[in-house]
Amino acid sequence: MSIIFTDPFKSLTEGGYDPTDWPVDLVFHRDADVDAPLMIQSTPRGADLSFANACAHLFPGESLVELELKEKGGICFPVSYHRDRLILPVMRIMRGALAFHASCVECAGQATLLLAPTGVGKSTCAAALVAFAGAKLMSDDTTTLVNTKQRPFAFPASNSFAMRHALLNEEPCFETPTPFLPQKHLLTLNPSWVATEPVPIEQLIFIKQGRSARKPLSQAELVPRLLAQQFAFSAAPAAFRARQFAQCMTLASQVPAFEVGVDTSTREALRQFAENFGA
Amino acid sequence: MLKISSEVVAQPVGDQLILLDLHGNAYFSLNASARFMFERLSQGLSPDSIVDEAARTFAATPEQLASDLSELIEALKSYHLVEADAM
Repeated sequence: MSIIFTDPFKSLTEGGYDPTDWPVDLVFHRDADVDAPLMIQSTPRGADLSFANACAHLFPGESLVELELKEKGGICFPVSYHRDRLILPVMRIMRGALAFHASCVECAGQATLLLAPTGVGKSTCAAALVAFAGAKLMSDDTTTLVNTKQRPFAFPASNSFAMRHALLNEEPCFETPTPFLPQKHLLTLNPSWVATEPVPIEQLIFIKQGRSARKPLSQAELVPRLLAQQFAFSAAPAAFRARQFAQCMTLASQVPAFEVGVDTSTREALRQFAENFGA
Repeated sequence: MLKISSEVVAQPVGDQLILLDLHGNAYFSLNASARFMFERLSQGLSPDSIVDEAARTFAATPEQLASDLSELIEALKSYHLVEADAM
C-alpha cells in the first residue's frame, strides 16, 4: 500500500509549488499501521538522487540507502517520526519554506526557535520550557519557517522530544519506549501541550552549554550562525538555492537573536532556565 | 575590467553584504567598506574611480584604500567570485 503525504499548511507558502522546479513527489510504502516499519521510495517520475541528497543534508553522513539498510537491520522508524522530522520539512522546503536544525516552542502566540549544534541541548531546553514555563511544542530538531503576510511563521510539526536523558520524564511529558533511538529517550507530550497552528516568530535563541546570561547577537554574529544551522540542498537548482539564501538573510534582518548559556545537567537547573526565560 | 561572476548572489544584512557562491556553495561576508567597494565593482566602475569615491566616504588615505581594494579583488579572484570581462 502506498501513502502520499500532503501538507496541511501548504497554502501558507508564497509562490506555490512548481513541480518542474523540483521534480520530486514523496511516496511512502508501509506494510501495516502507522507505527509499522517504513520504507521510503521516490515516485517513478524519479527523484532517487534528489531525495537522497535531501536526506544526506538532513541526516549528515546518511543516504537514503543507509536509512533503508538501518531499517532492514532491525532499527525501525515509525512513520510519524519520519513525517515530522524529515518528510514535512523536505516537502515544505520544496514549496519555498526554510528549515533549520532547531527546536521551536510557542509562548503566548509567538514562536521561539532554539538553535544549536547536535548535542548542546535544543530539545532539552524546549522540553524544559514546556514543562516549567507553560510553552507549547512546535517542533523538535527540525523547524520549518515561511514568510507570509510579511512576517516569518513557524510550522507545528512534532508531538515528542528526542532527548539524551530522561530528566523531564513527568507530566506533561512521558517516556515512550524507543528501540529505534538507542541513544535517546523519546518523550511524548500530552496533546494539550502541543501547538496546532503556525505562529509568528518572536526570537531566535542560540543555545550554548554552561549557564550564562542572555546576550543579544549583532547581525555580524547572527548571520554565520544562522547559515550554519540552515538545511540546504546542494543538488537543488541554483535559482532555488538563491531564493532560499535570500529568505534566510531576510529572516536574519527581521527577527531579534540572542545567545543563552544553559546548564542542562540537572532538573533543577532546567527549571531555573525555564522560569527565568521570559525575564 | 572585472565582472562579478554570474554564480554569485548577494544579500545585504545590516551594513554587511553576504555573498553566496552558487557554484561552490560557500558563503562570504563583506564588512561595510568591502561592501562599498564590491557594489561599485558590480556597477563596472574602475578601481581608480572606486578609490576616489571611497576617499570621500571613509576616513582613510587613498593609498590605504587602494591597497584594501587590491586585496579585496585578489580575494574575490581566489574564490572565483569575479572574472575578467572579455569586453
